[in-house]
Amino acid sequence: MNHSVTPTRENIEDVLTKLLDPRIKVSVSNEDALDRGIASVYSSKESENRALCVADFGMAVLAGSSFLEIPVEQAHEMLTSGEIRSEVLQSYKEIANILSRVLCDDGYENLRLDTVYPLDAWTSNSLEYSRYQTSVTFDIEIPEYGAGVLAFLVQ
Amino acid sequence: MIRTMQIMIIDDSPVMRKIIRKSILQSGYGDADIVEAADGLQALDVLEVSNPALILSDWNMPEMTGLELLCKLRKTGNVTPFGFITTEFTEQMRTLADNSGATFLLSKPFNVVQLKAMLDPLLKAAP
Repeated sequence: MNHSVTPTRENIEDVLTKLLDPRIKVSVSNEDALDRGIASVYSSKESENRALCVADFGMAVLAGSSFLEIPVEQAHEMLTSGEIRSEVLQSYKEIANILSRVLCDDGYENLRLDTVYPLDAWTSNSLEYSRYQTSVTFDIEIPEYGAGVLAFLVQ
Repeated sequence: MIRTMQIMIIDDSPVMRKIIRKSILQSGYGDADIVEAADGLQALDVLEVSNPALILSDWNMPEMTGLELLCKLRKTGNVTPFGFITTEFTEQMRTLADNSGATFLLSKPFNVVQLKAMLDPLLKAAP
């Protein structure tokens, strides 16, 4: 049975405002799911992949940095260099873990964060985009840090 | 001698331990002595040499889960207030936590106001 829930703008904003900054703005984008970025796979208790979350590099760096309160200048240096520091990646992984909440709803099963694939460690083919029926993309504006994109694919 | 109140944080994510630590400070317990462990098994070792007024634990962790730790503590007569801070959250988990002697279950993400509401009744009364 398919128990996954498609995240809404309100769900995402609720989680990110609590985690990062109460002033965060989230809007639904018309763009297709990203085919490059940092991909998080969520699975059921039976280890079946049920949902994917793909953050563009900016989102992963800025959200991870904001969570750890790393200075904005250092976050922007990572954007310029194209390299994410390991503690910032760990921080983003924790955000991705908590974002599993937006894929669950009362009465539905919990999905768990299974695997996080770093930038360029996956393709839409290797993650079998075609198995997911629904996709929704969000533009995220983190005050002072900047903007990023978060896309969800759900079965 | 003034004894500093101890609070124990158990989570396999160092980032999450840091966030919880920060939230405890922002909740008004900046002078608490925070002790940490990465899972239930490590927590048992830390508890050999510490005496926290409150234990805050993740649910899912390698080696020994938060629930397994709670059951072990209660079985040995340890009645330290024990709160879960967890991403996964179901009514079944709440029932399990309640039946095992948990003091509260707080789901991630949480804000400082929510954490403070859990901490104050326990820690304001702590010796």
